[in-house]
Amino acid sequence: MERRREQLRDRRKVISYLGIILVLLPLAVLYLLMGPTGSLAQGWNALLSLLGLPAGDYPQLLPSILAYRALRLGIAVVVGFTLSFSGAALQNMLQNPLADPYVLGVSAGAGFGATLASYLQLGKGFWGVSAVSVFAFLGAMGAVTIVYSLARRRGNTSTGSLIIGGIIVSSFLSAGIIFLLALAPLRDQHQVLLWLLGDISNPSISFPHLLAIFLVSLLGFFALLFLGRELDILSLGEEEALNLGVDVGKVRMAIFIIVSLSCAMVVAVSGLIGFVGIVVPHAARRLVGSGARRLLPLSALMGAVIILSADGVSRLLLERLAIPIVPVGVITAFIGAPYFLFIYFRRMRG
Amino acid sequence: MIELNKVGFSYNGSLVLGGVTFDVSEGEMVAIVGPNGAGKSTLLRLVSGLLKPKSGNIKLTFNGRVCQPHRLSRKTAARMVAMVPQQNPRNAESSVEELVLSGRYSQSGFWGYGARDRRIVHQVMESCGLGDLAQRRLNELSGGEFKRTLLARALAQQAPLILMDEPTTDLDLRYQEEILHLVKERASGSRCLLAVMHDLVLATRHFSRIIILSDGRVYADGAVEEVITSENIRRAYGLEVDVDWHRGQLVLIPKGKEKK
Repeated sequence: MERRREQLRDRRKVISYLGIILVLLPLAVLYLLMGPTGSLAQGWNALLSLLGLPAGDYPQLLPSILAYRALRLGIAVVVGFTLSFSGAALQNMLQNPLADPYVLGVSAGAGFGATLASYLQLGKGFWGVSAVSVFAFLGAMGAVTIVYSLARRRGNTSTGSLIIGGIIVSSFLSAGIIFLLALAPLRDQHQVLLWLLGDISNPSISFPHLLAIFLVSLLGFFALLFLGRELDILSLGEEEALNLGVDVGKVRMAIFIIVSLSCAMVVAVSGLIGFVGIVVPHAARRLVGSGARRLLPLSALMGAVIILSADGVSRLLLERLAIPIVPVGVITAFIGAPYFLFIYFRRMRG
Repeated sequence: MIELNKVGFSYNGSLVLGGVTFDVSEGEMVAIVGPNGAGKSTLLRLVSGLLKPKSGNIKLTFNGRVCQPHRLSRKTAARMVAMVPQQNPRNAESSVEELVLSGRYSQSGFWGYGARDRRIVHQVMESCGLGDLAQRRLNELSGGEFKRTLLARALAQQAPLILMDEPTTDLDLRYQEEILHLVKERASGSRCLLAVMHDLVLATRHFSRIIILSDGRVYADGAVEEVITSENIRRAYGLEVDVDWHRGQLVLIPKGKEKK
């Protein structure tokens, strides 16, 4: 009986991981090759030639379109990946199912930075990175620093004071965003609005920049996996964790820094894509439980799939139905909010 | 062993403990009883090093090492003191084995739990009668099974001192007996056990030494028959009782209230 339970659980774990990889890979290929220009076969040929391999013929424009799609694909994957594993880690650490990377002020800070940059008309920015991205990153790090120091004021950081600090700082900065938007010229308002809604349709970054973001995100991911034991114990509560030998203050600070850094990097590029960081970890937890070393990788992969599909839908809407840019953040919210409601009602009944 | 020397503690200016002194030696099992708000839980927190005494001092001596618990790093403290909490959130998604394994945290290596940790966890679960429940999720356990899991975790911690905060709360008669028998069986030997107990009858039945704590002071400390007297209980709890013994078991009858 008990052996059977264990086997079932292991099988479920394997199936979940296999399944998500089997979805992610074809999805990525499809995302790259499908589009209004050229057939799938031509796309494949263009891809081969991009990689320097012998290939059949394809429309002249296709390789550069593929490069653009690849960049967008990379952004979608790293955004979904990062927001989801961060959300999972924060939910466990703060013992709060509503936590996501945004509760700590990352989103409002990044939003404020981005709005400020476009209000000040900073234009092209630095080192080939757009000013909006740079300011968004700085804003995010600034906001989380304020949240953290507010929470630390009374000796050690309680989860409650972290969350309340996050809410206060976020609402203050949101007011700042609206204020700046009201002052900005109409032409810029649209662009800022798209950013605030989470849009990756017009990537303003280069491949090396994308690679850098990937590296930071992966580093953060492995650091959190390494802290898996601590994360699991923190999810039991502060006093429990202290009694079991976890240095709660230090571990919380480490997790906080890792999450803020990786999320600020991706949010600076993608804008504020909501709901992924909350909903995906919930879904993953239902499949493999809440142990960090099982949960984080699955959340990360599921997050990548979700953003990639949502952005695929956004592209389809544009390419097939000629519906102009629907920010991917809007689509994730359309999927995420009802799913969240579903989880909530299930929990109420169960 | 534990030595408390005139330990005082106040919280936001109000006195919780005022000069508590007692020793517990190796292998001893002590129950701490007393009315609500007497400072029992605070006392446990001080011994486990979560709080720092405002006056006096606490000394833990194990394997020839003397230390003050609040000065220790949390990891070192967890190697010396294990705690069985009164309440614990039941994480619906984790299993009995996972919770017991978390007790190994302070003893485990740099990269994670190793084969040795898992072996100890299995031994402890077996000895606490949890062998068949290893993969069971925590929210599928009965109150008694869950308490046994928490006890198993404390045992897996392999600390020489075990603290328990009201181990029998929320348990029915059978599980109350079961958990206390298990504690006595498993925690005996060179380990010390300090348990906060609410139920005087249970305390006298299972512990040979009892400390009555009231108003942040030790009212009485010693063997059951010396400590549990109507005089002591009247002073500590502010309630007149008849103390009686029936076949070696304590019977407490509050006075002034007729039984219907």
